Amino acid sequence: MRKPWFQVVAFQLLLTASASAIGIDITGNPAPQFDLPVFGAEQRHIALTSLRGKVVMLDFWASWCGPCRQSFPLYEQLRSELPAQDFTLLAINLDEVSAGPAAFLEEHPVSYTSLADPEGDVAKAFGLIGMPSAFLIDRDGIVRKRHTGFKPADIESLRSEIRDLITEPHNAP
Amino acid sequence: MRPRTRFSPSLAALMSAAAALIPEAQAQTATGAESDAHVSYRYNDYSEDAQPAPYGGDPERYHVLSQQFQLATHVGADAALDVSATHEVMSGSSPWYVLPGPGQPIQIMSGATIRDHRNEVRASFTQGTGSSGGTTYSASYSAERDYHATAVGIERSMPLSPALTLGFGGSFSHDLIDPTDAQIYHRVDHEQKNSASLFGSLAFIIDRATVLQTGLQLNSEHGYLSDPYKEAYVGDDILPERRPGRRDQAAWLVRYRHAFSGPDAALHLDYRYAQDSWGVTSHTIESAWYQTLPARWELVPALRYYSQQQARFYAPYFLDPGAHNVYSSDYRLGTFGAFSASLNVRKRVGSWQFSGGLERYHSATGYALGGSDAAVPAVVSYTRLFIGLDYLLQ
Amino acid sequence: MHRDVRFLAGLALLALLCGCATTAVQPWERGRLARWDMRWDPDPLQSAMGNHTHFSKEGSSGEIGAAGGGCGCN
Repeated sequence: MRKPWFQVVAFQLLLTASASAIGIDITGNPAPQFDLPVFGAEQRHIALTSLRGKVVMLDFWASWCGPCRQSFPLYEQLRSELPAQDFTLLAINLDEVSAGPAAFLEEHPVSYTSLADPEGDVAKAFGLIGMPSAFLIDRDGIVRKRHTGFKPADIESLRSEIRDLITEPHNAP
Repeated sequence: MRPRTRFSPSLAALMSAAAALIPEAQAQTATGAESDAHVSYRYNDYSEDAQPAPYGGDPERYHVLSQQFQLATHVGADAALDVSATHEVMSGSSPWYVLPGPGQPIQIMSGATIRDHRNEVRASFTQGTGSSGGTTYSASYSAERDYHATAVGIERSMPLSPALTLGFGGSFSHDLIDPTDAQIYHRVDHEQKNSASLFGSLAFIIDRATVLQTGLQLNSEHGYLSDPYKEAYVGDDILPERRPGRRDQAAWLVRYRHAFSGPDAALHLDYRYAQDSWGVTSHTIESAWYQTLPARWELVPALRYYSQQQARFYAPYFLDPGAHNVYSSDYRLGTFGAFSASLNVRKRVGSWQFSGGLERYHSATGYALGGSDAAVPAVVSYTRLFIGLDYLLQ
Repeated sequence: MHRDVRFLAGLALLALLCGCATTAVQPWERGRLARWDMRWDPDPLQSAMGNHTHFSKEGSSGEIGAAGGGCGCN
């Protein structure tokens, strides 16, 4: 029983590690397609394909996520600085229950839309490894940058990355 | 022939493959954001039940009024500072020594009503408040007329995987004891005590609604460990108690938290086993139910059970005047058990939070697990009331 | 006998660790864990007062964390 038990231990460790491995970095790949209802107005849907041709920033958030309280007003400000015909900011809410995010949106009102993904399917497709997560998608629908977590200082790098994506040459749709 | 080494190349390959799968950026751990910025105030009224007969002296026991103030803020993007102060006013008599009675032993209480205050300040600085762990440095100073204690500590929290966090740290305390009326009552004049402690803990995320933590704390105290105000009946003499000059203790703790989405509540279950070199062993079980109610009310009923087995050198009195190196009749070293029930209430209004609560603690030698062999006069029962106010900063 | 005990103990420990990991919780599924009442210590001021009282009136002490300073509390 000596050697086999050590291999069992090693296999168990591998199981632990693989079970906790979450999220694969999809940067450089086409953004997973989705069609989600608008939070609070479920009869309306928005599909990612409808935004092709613009630079898109997707912000995955939840009402219980502390840094999201800071990110919302700063993202609103960032959005107002950038041209609407070239850039769209879209939020995706991951709360399992709607009471929390409804109260959060009242306390932190923003003009950009939040979609509802309570099952987390879109989050899983995008390979989230932390909350909140922001993804920058170029005009051709390719994921170019992933930001995990939020600090107010991140706005600087986000702004310059978005401007770069807006000004870079791209293929006509 | 020596047994072959168990470490094999295939194992090494498996382990490096495992390590490669653990993601670098750690997701928000369950206990990531415990630091909110706030200002808090608490008022506590602690009142012990009177000493029942047979007794001598003043049976009105301790009454303590304490006020706590706390300020917790963020410092920069990734650090936090926590400063708190406590002011306590104590009055009442306390157990002094025990006389063997015709029936039950007679607890003699200190005659003069003590009136004293205690002030304490505590500060801690945490570097790394996010989900990738952090280090907390803390220091505290407590001063009362006859006791001054200075302590420093350090704690580190390290996520090992998205579901597992390691905690460890240590602290050191230096205490100076200057009993009042030392000359009059032939008490020790100026003594000191040094304590050091180490702890290690592991916290697991079991599933989306359950966390479990287990830890071990070791402490060691050296110096003057007796209570300068307590005496014991030894032979026909009343002598100041003598405890050993060293005490080592180990405590193992388990904490369980589970969130129930149906009733919108959380269950807390805590267990502690402690054992020390004086022979004191104890079990503590605490349970609390955090019930969220409409309009941002929160109700928290809680129960606690404590059971302790006595120190080797404890007895209510010592009839045999023979050589007793160490001896104490302090009820806190005897065999007893205690039940406590409490109810706390919280209400949130905007950025303000109002809280209040009541605790009733009742102890008896008969409540101890495994029964008891010696009487322990002066086991204490008390009622504690508190009100609190918090202002959440953003 | 010894080997079997060690093997079982090791397996039990790993089962505990793995059992925890096999129901891996995704980052967006941590809403319930982030509840204020799911903290180890939702009210540190109250628990400090409670621990102080118990430390002063009972024979044992010990918490998960660095131990604080003492007092002459009777």
